[in-house]
Amino acid sequence: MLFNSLEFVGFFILVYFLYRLLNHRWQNRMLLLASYWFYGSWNWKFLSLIIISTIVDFFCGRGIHGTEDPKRRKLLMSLSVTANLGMLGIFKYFNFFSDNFETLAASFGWRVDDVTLNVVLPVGISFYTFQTLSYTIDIFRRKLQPERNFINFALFVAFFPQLVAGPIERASRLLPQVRAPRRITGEGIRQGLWLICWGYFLKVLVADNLGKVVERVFATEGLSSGAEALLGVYAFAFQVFGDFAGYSNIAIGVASLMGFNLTTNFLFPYLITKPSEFWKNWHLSLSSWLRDYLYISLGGSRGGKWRTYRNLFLTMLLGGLWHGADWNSVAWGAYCGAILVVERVLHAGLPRFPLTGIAARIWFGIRVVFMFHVTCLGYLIFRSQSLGQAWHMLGRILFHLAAPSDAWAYYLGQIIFHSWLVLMVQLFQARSGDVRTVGAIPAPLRFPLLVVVIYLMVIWGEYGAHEFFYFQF
Amino acid sequence: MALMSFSIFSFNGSLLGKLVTRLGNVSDGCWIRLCLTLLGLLLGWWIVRKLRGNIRTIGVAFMIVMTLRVALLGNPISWMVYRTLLSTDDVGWRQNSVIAYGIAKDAKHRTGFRNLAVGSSQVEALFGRYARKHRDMGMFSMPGLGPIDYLLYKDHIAAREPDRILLYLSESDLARRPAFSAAKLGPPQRGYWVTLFRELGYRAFWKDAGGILAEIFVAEVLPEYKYSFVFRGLWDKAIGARKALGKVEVTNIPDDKLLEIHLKRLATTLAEENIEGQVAVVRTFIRFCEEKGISVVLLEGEYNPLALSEENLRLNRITRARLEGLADQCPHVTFFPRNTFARFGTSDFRDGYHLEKDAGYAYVERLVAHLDPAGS
Repeated sequence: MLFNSLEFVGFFILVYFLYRLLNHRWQNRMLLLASYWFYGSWNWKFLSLIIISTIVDFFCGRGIHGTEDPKRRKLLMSLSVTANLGMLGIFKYFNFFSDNFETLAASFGWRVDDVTLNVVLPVGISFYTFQTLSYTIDIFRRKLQPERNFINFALFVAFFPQLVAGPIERASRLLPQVRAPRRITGEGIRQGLWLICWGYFLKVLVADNLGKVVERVFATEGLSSGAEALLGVYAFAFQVFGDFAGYSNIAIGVASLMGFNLTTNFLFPYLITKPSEFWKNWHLSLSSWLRDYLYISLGGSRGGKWRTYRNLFLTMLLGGLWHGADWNSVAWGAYCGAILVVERVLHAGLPRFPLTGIAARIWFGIRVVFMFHVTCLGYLIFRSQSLGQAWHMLGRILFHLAAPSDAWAYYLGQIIFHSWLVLMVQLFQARSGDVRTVGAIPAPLRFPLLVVVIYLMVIWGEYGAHEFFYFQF
Repeated sequence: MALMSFSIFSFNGSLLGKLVTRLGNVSDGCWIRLCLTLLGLLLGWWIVRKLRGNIRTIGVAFMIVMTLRVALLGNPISWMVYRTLLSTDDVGWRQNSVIAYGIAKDAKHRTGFRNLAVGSSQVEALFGRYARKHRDMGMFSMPGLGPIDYLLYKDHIAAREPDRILLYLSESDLARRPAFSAAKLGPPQRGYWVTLFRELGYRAFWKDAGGILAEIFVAEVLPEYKYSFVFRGLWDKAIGARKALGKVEVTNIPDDKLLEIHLKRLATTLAEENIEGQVAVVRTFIRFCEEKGISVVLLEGEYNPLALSEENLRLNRITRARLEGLADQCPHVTFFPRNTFARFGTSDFRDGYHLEKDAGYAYVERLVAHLDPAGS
């Protein structure tokens, strides 16, 4: 069931109606059933994975908390990690590793029988396994008390607004909201409605329209000119932002209508000046997860600069692998890790020029544009169908930018038309530092903006219920 | 020149001259309606100025929407601009006919036809030349206009006040899956949708009823959604989408290629399961005509004999029986099977569906002579 489908609208209206009628205890039970229904409508069989993950982590969490024996604690922690990562490994990475092992073996002249699992990737598996893993790790680190009520815990794992594409919630944040009665406020409803509206705008207008440009450019390997390739990457930058931030906004908005307060997942990823800022603005719930449970576990910045560089690089490499079981995702992760390391190296060595006034603004603008292109280079690696295509397109961009083409004006027009409002709203939000509400926009512009958003969505929206990009993770 | 009958195919013209001429064709009723709307808008803005707080903000937003709606969709001038700027190649056949209809519905049109031919481009090919020469023959045709559209446009058809409606129908219309995607482009139905859905309650329709219902509902409430193809078309034209995407010009397809496409369509898209629902819709339309005192002539339609496969002949036997059945049940309905007025060969068709003009003219002459012997 997609957020941008009629089914979901009907589903949510019914759920919300029941939610407002029931008391807190029954609200949670109903939400759990609704969440399972939401997931099951995609594939009932894979619902069992969520239930297994829930049962294992519920009892592991209690077991870890209930014993002081380090061996037993470690054993239970290992059980939780193995169960979650095992599922992820089998359903998401098995074929990738199996195929590559076969290729590697063949290169040595060994013949290995083809072993591939004929299964589809369960939607959202990367999200809910990370969410439940954080629960047991936090208990293991003695930062969290285990949940005593199974229904509450099951709802924490399966809460439908964020189940399949995040934000990846921490137990310390979401479980208290599950446990205690929620208060639905006028501000929460206003905020929720705005976020839902803006989320749909980002999805059906920005992402799904620019997706057509992206499909075209990346489908024509070797045919697109440099300008077309560059514009295709720009289009992808806004498509992927619109798709994912759109989903997150709808999720946060839907939860907000029910009195939940989910983690903000996206800030201003294209208005930044440094690679490290990107991960403070993009998919915050994942980047903070990687920082807290991977980077720090690897040693973080303890142990000198070389270890810090190694940890940064490894964290981003694995973050790349989280995004997809393919070499493009791995290469993208490596690229992200490499630019973070380069930033750290340069940060210490580069001279600083204290600028003020207009010069400072111009310099800021130059850095934003430069950083956008650094991000886009990563996108080129990530979105290409193969590393060969990425290399080829990069060559076209660098050495054949001005090649004649009929399509470049069309692509440019589409990108400007579908991204101008996003950038405008982001600028307002960045200035006020408030990404969540339309309240960040000056009052005289607020209602006209809403009218424009709805008008554009009605006229130019793509209503074919296109899947969300991040479902494949 | 006043529009004698509505057909998208009769609009082919230059820019400003056509625009001015067309303004002269706008009916007095339309101008009066527009003046009243503008007065309503002025009054609305005046009231909004007096409001305070949140209600004022909501009022301003509402008035912005209404003003935009009138400016973009609620006046004949904008439709004439769209008609002038956009072509079938930019927006598609049916969409372009909807734009043409946006003008035609506001134009002065003659009423009181002896015969009004209603249908798709097949009807235009068949009756077009005759209708332009004989004032008692009118036409109401759009590309792909099928039985479901009879119901959607029924009030507009009845407004032409014909004595007799001519429906040119065959298995190529009745065994085809109804074009529900075009339903949202029809005129506002308001309460009639309830009847319409009841009438259309057969399996093939209800399979995707949810999506269709939602789409039609949104189109009814938000004309901006219904006519979004206009704005998309303008934008695509401005940024050269057709050239960039290498889209085929649908009006420029050679006849032989068109024949190939039509034959393929006739061989693959007709199915017996669609007949029941389509005939039910025709029956409802016939009942409507009966209530209005309009008689109906069912002409068994034809298409290129090259497409007459065994399967299509089987479907033809079923649809013919159904059409005969309709004529038997309703005293104001007459049915004429194929070959009654002419026997068409492959050379009489310019593609898969459409007759050559001469062949069509001869057919209609004989038909009218038969229907109105005194006046022929």
